[in-house]
Amino acid sequence: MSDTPVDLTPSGGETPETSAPNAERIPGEYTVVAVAPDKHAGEAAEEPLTTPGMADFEDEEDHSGLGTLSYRQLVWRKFRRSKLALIGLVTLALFYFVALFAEFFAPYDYRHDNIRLRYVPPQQIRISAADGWHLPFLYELKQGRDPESLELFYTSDPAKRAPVRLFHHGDSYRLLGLIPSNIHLFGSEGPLFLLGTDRMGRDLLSRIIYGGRVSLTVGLVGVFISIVLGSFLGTLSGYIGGAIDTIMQRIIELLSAFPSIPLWMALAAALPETWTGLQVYFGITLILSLLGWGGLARQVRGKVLAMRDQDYVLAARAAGANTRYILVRHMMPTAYSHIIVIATLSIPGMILGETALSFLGLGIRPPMTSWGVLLEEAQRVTVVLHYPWLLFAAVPVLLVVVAYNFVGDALRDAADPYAS
Amino acid sequence: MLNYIIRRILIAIPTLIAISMIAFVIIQLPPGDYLDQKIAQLEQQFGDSSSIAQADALRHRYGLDMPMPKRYLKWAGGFIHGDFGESFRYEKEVKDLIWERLGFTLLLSIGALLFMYLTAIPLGIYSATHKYQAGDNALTLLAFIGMSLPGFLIALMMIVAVYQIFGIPLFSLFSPYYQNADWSWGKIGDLLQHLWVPIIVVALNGTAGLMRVMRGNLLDVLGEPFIRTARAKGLKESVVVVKHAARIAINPLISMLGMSLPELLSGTTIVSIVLGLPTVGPLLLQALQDQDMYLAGTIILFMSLLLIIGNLAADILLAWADPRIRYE
Amino acid sequence: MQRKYQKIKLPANLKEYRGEGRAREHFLLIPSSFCISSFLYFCPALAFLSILMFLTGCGKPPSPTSLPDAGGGMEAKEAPALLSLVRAGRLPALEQRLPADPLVVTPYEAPGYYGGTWHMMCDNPDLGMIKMICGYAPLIRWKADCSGLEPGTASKWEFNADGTRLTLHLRRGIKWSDGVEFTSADMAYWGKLIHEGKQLLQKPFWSLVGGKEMRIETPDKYTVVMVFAGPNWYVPLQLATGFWNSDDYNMPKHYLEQFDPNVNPKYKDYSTFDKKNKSHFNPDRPTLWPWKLARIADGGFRMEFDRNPYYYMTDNRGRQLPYIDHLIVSYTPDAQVRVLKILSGEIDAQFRLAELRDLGMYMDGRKRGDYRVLKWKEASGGFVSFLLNWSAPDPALRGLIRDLRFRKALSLGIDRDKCNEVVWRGLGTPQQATISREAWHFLIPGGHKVFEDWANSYAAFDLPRANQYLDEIGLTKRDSEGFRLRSDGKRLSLMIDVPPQTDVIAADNSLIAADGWRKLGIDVVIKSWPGAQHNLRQKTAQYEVSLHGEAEMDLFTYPDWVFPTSDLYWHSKVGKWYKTAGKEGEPPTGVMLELLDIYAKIQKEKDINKAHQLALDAIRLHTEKGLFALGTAGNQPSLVIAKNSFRNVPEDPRILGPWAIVGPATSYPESFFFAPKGYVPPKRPATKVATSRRQ
Repeated sequence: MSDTPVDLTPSGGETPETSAPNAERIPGEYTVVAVAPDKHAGEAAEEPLTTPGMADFEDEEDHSGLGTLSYRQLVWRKFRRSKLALIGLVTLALFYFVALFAEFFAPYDYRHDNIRLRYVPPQQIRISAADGWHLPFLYELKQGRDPESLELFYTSDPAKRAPVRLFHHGDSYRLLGLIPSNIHLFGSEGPLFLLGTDRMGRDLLSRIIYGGRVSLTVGLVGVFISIVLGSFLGTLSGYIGGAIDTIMQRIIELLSAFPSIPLWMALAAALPETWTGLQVYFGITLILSLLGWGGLARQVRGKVLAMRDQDYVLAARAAGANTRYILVRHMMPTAYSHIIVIATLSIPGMILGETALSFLGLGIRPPMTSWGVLLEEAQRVTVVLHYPWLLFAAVPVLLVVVAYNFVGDALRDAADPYAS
Repeated sequence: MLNYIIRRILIAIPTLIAISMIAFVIIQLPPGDYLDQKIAQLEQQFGDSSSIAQADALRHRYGLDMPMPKRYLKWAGGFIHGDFGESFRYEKEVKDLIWERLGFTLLLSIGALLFMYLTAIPLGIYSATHKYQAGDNALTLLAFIGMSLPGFLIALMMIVAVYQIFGIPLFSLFSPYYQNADWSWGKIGDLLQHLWVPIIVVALNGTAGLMRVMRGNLLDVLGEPFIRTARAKGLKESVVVVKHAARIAINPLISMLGMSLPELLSGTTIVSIVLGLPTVGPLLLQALQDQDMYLAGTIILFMSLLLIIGNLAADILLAWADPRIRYE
Repeated sequence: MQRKYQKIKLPANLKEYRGEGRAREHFLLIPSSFCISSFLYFCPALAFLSILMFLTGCGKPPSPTSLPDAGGGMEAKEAPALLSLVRAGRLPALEQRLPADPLVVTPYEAPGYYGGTWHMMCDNPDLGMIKMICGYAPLIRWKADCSGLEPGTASKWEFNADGTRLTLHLRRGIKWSDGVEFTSADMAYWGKLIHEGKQLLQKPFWSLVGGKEMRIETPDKYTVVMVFAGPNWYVPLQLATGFWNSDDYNMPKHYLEQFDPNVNPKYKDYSTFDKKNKSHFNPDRPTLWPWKLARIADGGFRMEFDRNPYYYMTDNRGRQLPYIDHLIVSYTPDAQVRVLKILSGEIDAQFRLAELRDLGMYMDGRKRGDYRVLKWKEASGGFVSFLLNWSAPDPALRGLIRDLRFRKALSLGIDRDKCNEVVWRGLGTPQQATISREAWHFLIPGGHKVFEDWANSYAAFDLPRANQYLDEIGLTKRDSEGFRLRSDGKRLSLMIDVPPQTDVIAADNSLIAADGWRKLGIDVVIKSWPGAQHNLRQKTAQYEVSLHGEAEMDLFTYPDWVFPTSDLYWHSKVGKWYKTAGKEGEPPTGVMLELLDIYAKIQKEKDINKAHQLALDAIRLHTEKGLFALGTAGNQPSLVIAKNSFRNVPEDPRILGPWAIVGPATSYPESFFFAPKGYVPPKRPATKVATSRRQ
């Protein structure tokens, strides 16, 4: 369900306004007559008009003053009602904020390795010791090696303590690539590994934060490309019709006949090995967005087809507006809400797609790191049995995708605030 | 209706041809070809140039020194005879390779499909009829987690967990004892025992999503006037829900069968790569990395074919289930 | 009819629900009877789960570790399965199956029991790894410690005075696996085929002297004479090296002739011939191996081998080998599945594919899986080594690389302890790039010291000294970021070519080296190339720093690590010059010329000890003026995993790494056996296996 870029996750109670490629085959309001599935989607008018300004409410009490609010405010009000969505929104905002300032929040640089501290289990920050209470501190670690299995183990040295400080001066970096600094939110002179370390002694927490930067933005960039391509081409195709429309439909059908993972795998394997990490990153986003724009284009096209023969379009044309004006000013805005909802629901699919590709070794390449790369490194029996903390990288993936699903759901519900 | 089916089939053929061309081109995008890798490997082993002469002879034999359009035509030309070329790595006919793995691939996919539908539909009904109660909330939470957690992440963990707890190694599809044995009830039981981790892992996302869809659909249908009529008539609630409402609510799910197929295929691919199952997935990954062009191209083609067939079947199924739908 | 309505708690703010769909209204009308039956909705899910739990908890299939056959003890001279066939008249008697003078093997522990099936894994359908176990049937064999040669299917051999004629005496009466005799006619057939060159097998490079082919003469049924265009003293070594050589020259004429277009007009070309000649694909092809490929099943995932009834070896009690009846090889490309298979005890003995990084897991699982973990030797001299391109494309860089001080500085900038720690868990030895310390060149007096000098030359991690060398060369100017500037003003930078990213060892080592070199003021870029391109760049000398794993036991069959004789490694252009006899490439100068001179002398040298001395001379050149390849850590162990009841596996570390020396085939896997219950391994008398003096 979350593998293809478009998703189908209706919340309870509402018409499942699907964003799936075969949406037109799903009867919406049971007032459908004959539906030819591969033809005009949405022509059977499924949804109520959402032209801004038409405040047509069945609500008994009118003292809420809803009639005077703008579309955006209406949407926000409805969105706000869902507690889960609000939590999701806050979570996402937190993740993105941390990812933006990753260098500050992460106690170490993601490449900072320490040979003497490999495979350290997660450390505890303590506040009490044998001699009473202290400010937060950590014990220093001594490395030992089991003589038989040659596994490393660590013992805390109670004698040596290293305090944990806020705004600690640690690895130097350039904030946003511009401002040199070396202040980290928290840190310590001694080892501070809240989630443990990996094979090279790199702090997992820091790598998750830096990896989040890549994983979180891959989805955004990919979806952005999908939106731009899909909405533009869909609007064009729907409005102009004719040959262009038919060709577009065939192309979209072709795309949807491709199984996504094999296509992604083939394209990712085709990315030249000589590309830098950044180039690979953009290549991957392009690949992920490739299959997604088709579904969006079809949806938008459906809406445009429904709108195309409305009176106000006729009026605009009579007033002398050219095609481009009508397209940009009238057609596309009607689809905005739709587009945004679909986009929000596609992002988790993209994030998971990138995770899957990196997991198979076809995605992001070292030294760049992403959650998929971290999980790939954890994909060993040795890790599962002996160093299980490395599997923690799955948790942020889960949280982000769940948050996006909640937000997208509520957004879809809220996008039609005029619906009863 | 028949016209419609024939038309779909006819359209499918150029679609498949286009797909085969695109896939073929993509597979060969990386520079070099399979034999470069083979030479590299041979040189590592023997470090001398007689391997190069061998590789040149092989290159000519496999037609790798032809330009790409010719190679494509050579490959595509064989389709009519049922000859899909030979794999370089396995040195076998591609169709044999795929055929041997086909059975288990389909078994896994169909098993996951069955699991998805048989589990999700009743749970969705329960969730809808107990909206916002404790059970529903729990199921909703589980559903969201299930939809968000990619199965392949936990595949290895599950296998290792089962091994640690039960002491049964569940990798591959058979235990060694039954691997060579003839088919018997024991062997089938063994297969089922090994199959459940992959099925759950593959079906996890889909089940959760399907449950939510079922819930939503059923809630909509339960709001219809005719349900109120049914209740007013005095029918038992269970009859109302199951016999009347659920039947209508399931219709969209049937059309979603077609949409689930790509999911399932993709999911099966990843999970079998992770778990090392003898299905088509690992074959594809290896072929892509090797640039084993005939093998990879045929697999992608074959998967697209499955998709198209699946979509067509879903459409037909939907038309059969819902008499209001007509196809021109 | 009374219907009980359940007391429903109304939501606090009913208005909230209003706008959310019509599905609300029925909420208030749910009768209580429904709630009882609601659990039915969980039924399918619960049913599934319970079935699955039941199936998982179901009884395990019996453990697959084999036991010997009844009647397979010391009194049996052949396998009981074969004996019953003989009694039924379907197989000739033992005396007729064995050659007149079979090869006698002294088992490592004790003579074994007949019977059992050996399960193992491979990671490639071409079964290269498996041929290292059961595909070695050469005329001449390497000794297990590579200290010399011993007889194989040829019982003795000798050269004529000037080294142009090699006479091999075959054992009389060796038979192919289908019973037809193996005679010199088979070798003559091979000679004819490679001469004509129409099928896939090419003339082996060792048969050419000065570009001229060899000729094969067969004066009688059991004598083969190879006639070369010039002295070719090292051919016996080549005949023994690697399974691929013997795989090529052992051709069953009687079988393959049916597919030969010269003989059978039904075939127009050699394409079918080549297919049928593939010993790892064609179960019908007769072989000389101890186990013969019987079938390929499960879509290529399982290969089964059955014993060869005509095998030419016996143990020291005259009992025909092999002891084990069957091999079952499962093709397991996924690394994690391999680990799990070993842990669960599905594998009886595994000689490769057990990675050192999983050592902890294997050690922990010994009791549960009932196996033991042995550490054999990888025999590597540098895994990996950094190759410095002698003919780097950039002229300024080339000049620097050819300056010994620069190479010394680079060598001192590699933290080898760190490499050892990260890559080999401290089990290797930090050292300079060398050939294997077990190589037989070091077995002569004084050889050991030569090796030590080589391994320790500039192998320390000494940044101040390295910086000093760089300053001496004149690279004292630095740019704004602290990197040194070259004489032409550009920043001093090196690009390390790394094989594809899946190679963790290469990646880790490169990171460590790059780290050290950056501290010397050199800007290091690590670039990953696909396997084929990586090799291509090495061959065409386009790289600056490249990587390779170095493990070589014998310089005579494979001189390229020390002598610039082929277009590989650090000497691509010079090697090309040598190979093409001066037509292409770069002429050797300085040290290169000296090395090639030594090599020319070796080729003419008849006395093996003198040849060893010459090899050591070349190595001394490397120690003093070399450092063409910089090592990290080597001599790491290679894991061998064997079930506790799987016996006769040598416990003293044998060599497993280099494929040329065909480990474990040279340790006679034919003598491995499954012990019966209650078997106690006897106190082993010191089997005379000459080990290298150095541990």
